[in-house]
Amino acid sequence: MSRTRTYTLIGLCAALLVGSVLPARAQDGEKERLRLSATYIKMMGGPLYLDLAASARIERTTVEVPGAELEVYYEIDGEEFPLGTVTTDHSGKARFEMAGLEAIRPDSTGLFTLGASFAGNDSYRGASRSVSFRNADIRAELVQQDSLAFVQATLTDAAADSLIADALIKVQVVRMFRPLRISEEFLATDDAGSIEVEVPAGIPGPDGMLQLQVAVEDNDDYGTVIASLEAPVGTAIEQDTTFFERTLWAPRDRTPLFILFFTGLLILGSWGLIVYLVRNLIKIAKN
Amino acid sequence: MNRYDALVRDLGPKKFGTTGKLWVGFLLLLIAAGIWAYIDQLRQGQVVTNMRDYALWGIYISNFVFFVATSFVGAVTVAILRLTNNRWRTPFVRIAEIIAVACIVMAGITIMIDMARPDRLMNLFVHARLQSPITWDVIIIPTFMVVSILLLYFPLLPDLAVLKEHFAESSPRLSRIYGRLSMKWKGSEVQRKLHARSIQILAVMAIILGLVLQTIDAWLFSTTYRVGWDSSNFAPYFISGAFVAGVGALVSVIYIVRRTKKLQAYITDYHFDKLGKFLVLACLTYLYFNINEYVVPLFTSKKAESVHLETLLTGDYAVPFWLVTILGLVVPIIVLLFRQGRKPLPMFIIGVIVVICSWWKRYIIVTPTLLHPFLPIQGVPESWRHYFPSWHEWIITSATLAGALLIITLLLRYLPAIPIVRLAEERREQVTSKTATA
Repeated sequence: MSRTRTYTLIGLCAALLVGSVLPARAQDGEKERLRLSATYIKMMGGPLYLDLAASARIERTTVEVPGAELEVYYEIDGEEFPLGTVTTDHSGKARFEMAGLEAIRPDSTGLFTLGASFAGNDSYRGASRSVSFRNADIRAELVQQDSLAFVQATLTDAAADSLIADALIKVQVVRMFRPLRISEEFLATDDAGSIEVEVPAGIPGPDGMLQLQVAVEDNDDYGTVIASLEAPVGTAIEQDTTFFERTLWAPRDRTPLFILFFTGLLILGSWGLIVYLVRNLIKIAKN
Repeated sequence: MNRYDALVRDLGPKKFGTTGKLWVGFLLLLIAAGIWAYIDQLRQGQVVTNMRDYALWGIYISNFVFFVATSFVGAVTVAILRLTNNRWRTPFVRIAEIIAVACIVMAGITIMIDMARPDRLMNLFVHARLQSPITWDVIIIPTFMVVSILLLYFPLLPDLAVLKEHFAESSPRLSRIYGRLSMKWKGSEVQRKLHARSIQILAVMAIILGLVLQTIDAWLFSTTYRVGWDSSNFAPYFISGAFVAGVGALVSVIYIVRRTKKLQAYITDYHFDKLGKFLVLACLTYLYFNINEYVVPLFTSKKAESVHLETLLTGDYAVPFWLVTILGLVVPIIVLLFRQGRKPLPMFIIGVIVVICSWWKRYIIVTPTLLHPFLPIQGVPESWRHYFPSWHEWIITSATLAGALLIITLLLRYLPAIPIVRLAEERREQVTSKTATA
């Protein structure tokens, strides 16, 4: 009786184990849904970018998907024309670069559509994402008025050749980690599509040169458009000249004297004694 | 020299038995695997390791620090006991000197293994900056290596002369080698004076240079401002930790040598008892520095340091941290406080546990700090946020440990494990003093 009970118990455990593993296996076989995001960026006087990011929601966590091959295309009236392919890096991001908008055509209303599609693989289902935008230009210049510096910029719709009013715009200085905004938080273009922002004094830059940017970011109609200009209105960064003095961080020919002295003393003292001991060995052998 | 014959029979070189041959074969196998892995590392680059931008020091540096610590104690323990003329040192002083040589040699090799481009080794000297602790390390390691070798060699001279005589008939070739190494030692007055003076100088040098070596090793870490390393406590913390690792290694090796060479009559319970007290003192000192290192920052640390401490105390590294602290420090202290705990077998078990924990302690000192850099880890693969050694690293590190054990094994095969002449003189002095008393 007890043996029967034991077998029953083992059987139940085995069934439970198999039962719990099988659905997991079945789930493992299902492909995940790939999420794509696309951002259009136009650098005035430079290239255009389509920034792409691939991610997936796995076990309630968003994970970046590296190594996804994405086909980039442009679209007119529902018809797609291939432009090239890019592969996402370790952070699930990829950038497609174009020299200009000449390579693609807009539809009859002047609207461009760029997209990227993922064919799918063993782990993820296929996905695609497109972004539509109109071609906008920013003309920016630096103006000096009574020893004060101002950035003046005008935003225009290139296709319609019209000024764009009430568009949020920002003026910023390029820094190492993220740009330093110098315009007010919500600055919009006026009826003439223009803005004027004072460049504060005292911003440090190499030789006083500042890299300024006038940017329209993530605009529903125009995407991101950035115009850059160099402005010699900053405060020159002074080089740390202590590098050339006798410091801990100086080149080796500028070693602090106390380190030279003590290290030299230790080296000479130790190796001097070692030579003396070797001499003693020789004397022992000769005696 | 006939008066030494009985001692030479007990303590002199003996051929390997089957176990000895198997042991050497096993070590050679590990070393061969390590050489293969190292050649592959040279060919492919350090991409075969799991060291990346953040964990740029890994198991190799932990292993290097462990070797340096063990070597330091081998030499310094001997030196202190020599200078204080402690007689109970005699049976294990040679073993300590051998451990010191083996470990400092392997420390030098290990640091070269860690270099991605060993062909640029000379650049360390050619482009050395004397302001850098790395340069000090490059200088002190060869210096300490030479001093350790001399500290082993000088006291050996009389024994080598005895061995030359002993093997003159049974093995003339071995006798010739011992003869050359003995530097024509005859035990004349002049030779004895030079010998005693040289050993005295070496003992003082070993203590000073040993302290410098450990301090530089600690400064390599503490001068980097990194959380977990930025501590003025670090040099004494390293020195006290080295004593724990070194005495643990000494106890373990002495036990094995005593057993395999049947030296129970020479290395007695009395010696283990003394070493046990020494080890418990080392553990208590190290525990004190550990409390300073971890408890004070619990109250005063800023955010980055708090995160680091949390990783150690309750986070990813909590299991090894507490295992190392409890098994490697607290348990030895409790066990060794009792006389029964200081008997040979319990001492051996404690010694082995202490050595293993000391090795992992270095791992805990090196790795978690590197994974807490000043700037957030961004835009890198997820695997770069963690570090666990690759197979290449494990195989190469095992080979370096096997290398140290092979050096110890071979030196103990060809050299007397206990100084013969010294022991004979001590026994003669004892007999003389007993006669005088009677």
